[in-house]
Amino acid sequence: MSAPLEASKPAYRLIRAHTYAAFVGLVLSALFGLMVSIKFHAPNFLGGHGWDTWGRLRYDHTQGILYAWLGNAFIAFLYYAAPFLTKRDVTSNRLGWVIFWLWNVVAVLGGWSMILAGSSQPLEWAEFPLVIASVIELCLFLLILQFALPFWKCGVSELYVSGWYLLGGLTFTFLAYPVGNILPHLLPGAIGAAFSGLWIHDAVGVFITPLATAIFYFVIPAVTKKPIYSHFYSMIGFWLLFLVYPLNGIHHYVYSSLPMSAQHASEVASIYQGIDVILVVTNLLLSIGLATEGMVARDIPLRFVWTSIVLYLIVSIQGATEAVMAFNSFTHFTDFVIGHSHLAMIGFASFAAMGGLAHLWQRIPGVRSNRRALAWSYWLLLTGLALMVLDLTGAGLVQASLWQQHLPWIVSVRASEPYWVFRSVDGCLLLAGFVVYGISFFTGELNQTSDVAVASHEHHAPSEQPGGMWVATAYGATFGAGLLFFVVSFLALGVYPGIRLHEKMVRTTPPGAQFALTPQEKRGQEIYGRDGCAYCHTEQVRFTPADAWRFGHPTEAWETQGEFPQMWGSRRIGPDLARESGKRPADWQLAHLYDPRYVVPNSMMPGYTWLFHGDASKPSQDALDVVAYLNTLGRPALQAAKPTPHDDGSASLIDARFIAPMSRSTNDLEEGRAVYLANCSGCHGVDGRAVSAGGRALRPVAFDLAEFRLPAATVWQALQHGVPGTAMPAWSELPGAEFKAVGDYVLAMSRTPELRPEEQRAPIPTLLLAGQRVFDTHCVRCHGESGAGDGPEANRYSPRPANFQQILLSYPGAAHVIHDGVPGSGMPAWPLLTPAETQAVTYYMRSFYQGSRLQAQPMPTASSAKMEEMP
Amino acid sequence: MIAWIIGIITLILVLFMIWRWSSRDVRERLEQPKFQFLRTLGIPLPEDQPESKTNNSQEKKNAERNS
Repeated sequence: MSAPLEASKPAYRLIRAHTYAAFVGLVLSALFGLMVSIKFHAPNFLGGHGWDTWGRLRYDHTQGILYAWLGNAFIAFLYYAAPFLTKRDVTSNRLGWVIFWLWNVVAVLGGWSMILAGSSQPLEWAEFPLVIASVIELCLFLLILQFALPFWKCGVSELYVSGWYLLGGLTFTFLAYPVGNILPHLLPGAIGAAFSGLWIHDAVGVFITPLATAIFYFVIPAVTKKPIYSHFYSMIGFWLLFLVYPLNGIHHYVYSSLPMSAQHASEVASIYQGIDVILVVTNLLLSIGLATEGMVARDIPLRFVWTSIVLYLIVSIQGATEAVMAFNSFTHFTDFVIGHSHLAMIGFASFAAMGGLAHLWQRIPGVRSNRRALAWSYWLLLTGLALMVLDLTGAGLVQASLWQQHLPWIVSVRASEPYWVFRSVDGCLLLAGFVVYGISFFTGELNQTSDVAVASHEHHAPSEQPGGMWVATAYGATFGAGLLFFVVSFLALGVYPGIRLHEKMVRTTPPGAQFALTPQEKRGQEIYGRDGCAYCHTEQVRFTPADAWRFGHPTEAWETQGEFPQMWGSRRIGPDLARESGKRPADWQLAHLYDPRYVVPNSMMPGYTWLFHGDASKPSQDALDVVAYLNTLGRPALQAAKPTPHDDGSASLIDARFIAPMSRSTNDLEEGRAVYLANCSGCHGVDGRAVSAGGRALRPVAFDLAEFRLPAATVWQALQHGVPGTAMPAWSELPGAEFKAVGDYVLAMSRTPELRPEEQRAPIPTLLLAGQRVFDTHCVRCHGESGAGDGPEANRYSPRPANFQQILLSYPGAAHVIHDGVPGSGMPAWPLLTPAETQAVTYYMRSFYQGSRLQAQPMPTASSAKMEEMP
Repeated sequence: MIAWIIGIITLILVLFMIWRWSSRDVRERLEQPKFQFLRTLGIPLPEDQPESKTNNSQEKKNAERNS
């Protein structure tokens, strides 16, 4: 029995509509990306508002590329290819327009707008808010109705491999999409991360890759007019893609607290996937190579496709290599990964989509196509992409190397800046290429192609053909197996680790651990998420020596129970914040949030000035909420931690490297000045007088290093351990030479000379007595009788009152402090003291100073000790 | 568990390969869609043209080449 079919033809109006939408999406998404790139080296570029901050533009960039550009391009191609593959029309043109408007107006424009307005979710490749995610899921369902039904009706034994890829892509994306969008909101921290990992990879693996591969298999025979090399191998590649790809997901969280068996599985699956891609690419290149002589050079759409295939091979092998744990420990979180993702999304996915669109456009009647512009766009894009990938790969290797070297984090940021500038230049080239590509669709010669109807064929039911039943059964069973394996991957890499993690969490959670956030902290978490903070600052210390040395104890699964959703992140531009609780005081966080360069010279983080009322000291409630949230990161572990030997207050111990004879050669001081300017000048000011905006924004204000002299032991103590109760952090991560150099420089920059004992005393006894009287009246309650900062009320204050045995005062410095007080500390202003009284009490306080008489004993540095502990 | 999954996937592939090698008819059937697709695109195949019909069709050649 045979069933004659009516002639069908592509829905040209829908193809054109989706193609135009794809162009707009491509150019706007690339513009978002360029703005994001520029902000890396010009952080205040287009700043000052919430809507154009780095994080929100970054969200719009990636979501735009995925849905506005690639989504529309793939749908346009589906409308063109489906009639050829199924010999049937799509289900309904009216349904097509419903999908078009839902996809572009509601999902894309709505999603972009909501992100810019501050409504989003901090989940990679799932940044559109949940309401938009629901619309996209609905569209995916409608796309299945539109395309999968004709595919299914045409009989699987005759379905060409492109049809399989299109069918599989739509079906599996529909299944995978909720995994990354909804589950992380419902499952805590590490458990949610396992599901996020699945979707991060499935967005590429089951949405982009199948649809791009469908284009390969369609365009190559259509241009070469020869069959592909092997349909069987193409099907093997197809099945492997869908069986293995979903198992890759957790390789985004290697060295995390997820079960090691799941991490190893993702590693093995990634290598398996690389082998599959070698098979697919070999089949595709043989299909082109056997059939053509110079056709790749002549046919520009085929050239796009050929380039995409080659880059698919490169990026897949690169990806499989990155999943190998030894390699991953080095390159993960660096720009190496960003280079990889741009190679995948531009080199593989976008080149495939461009080849497919250009191919179909040349076959649509009544439109223009400009071959010369298309060729120009190819070379612009290839050049821009090559430069960008090389640039980011280089940047990543530099960052990885610096992270291993136990240098301050900011060193890697500074070293990256030239690479980031160059990336913006590459980005301009790419943007130009995209624009020229779009122009090629509106200029040039008018297509004279006639309206093509797909040739009608008599369709034989599979059972009527020899072997057809077997093939249909085998393919159908394998497709069923594919669906089953998707469920299995969901169980193996999501549910199973979740159960294991839950058991582990229950077993390891310390008694009384508190995970609940206050309403204020929750608001801070929402702001942190919507502005993309987690896309620069990871929230997981990995189980690697470099991470543990720099950030502290690796993040355990039990610590993440309060994270809904997890914000572990996949890129580190700023330092990890998983151990931020208690590390910095709120005033430092606020000054940093207002303008990071106030306290971190050369920081590339954008200022969040719209969270303040014009000044760092006037935070809005939002800013306070963010700081409150930051103080929750690592709090459960902090509460559970027992005091370590370093916390025993061994203030008098001193590092051997620091008590070495001070070398004050010009070179040493120059090095010290360089280290000081790079790390300290934001708060203490270039001249040490702490009158910088950052220094004045802190509470207490930054210490004046010019007007007061500190002994070497005190400087070492402050550098090594920080100053509790102030924004002064520990700088123990500085290399030994730099640590000593900056210490020497701080000692040298004081304008208060070291005095002999007799010079510290007042020249006349009356002055000394007057000073003692003032001190006993106003100061002794806090600073103590011996001036050691140990008076009866000293414990009320943090930071503790100044210890005049360790601080030598100058008259101007003391006068300034006495007159104005120290904002943010317990030291009030004493404006009623006369200049004579101020002078007298200064003399009296100077008499406490012990300076170099302070005893010190050598000990190993904390940093080197920690380094030796690492495996 | 993961090792089992990878093993089952490999087993499925091996079974497919064995099945394909088992008969020429299966090999031809598995390659059939790529020729059907070309016909749908309106590209004539050698065996569609009367003068080029031979016992050794292009399909069989391709099937043998790929076996």
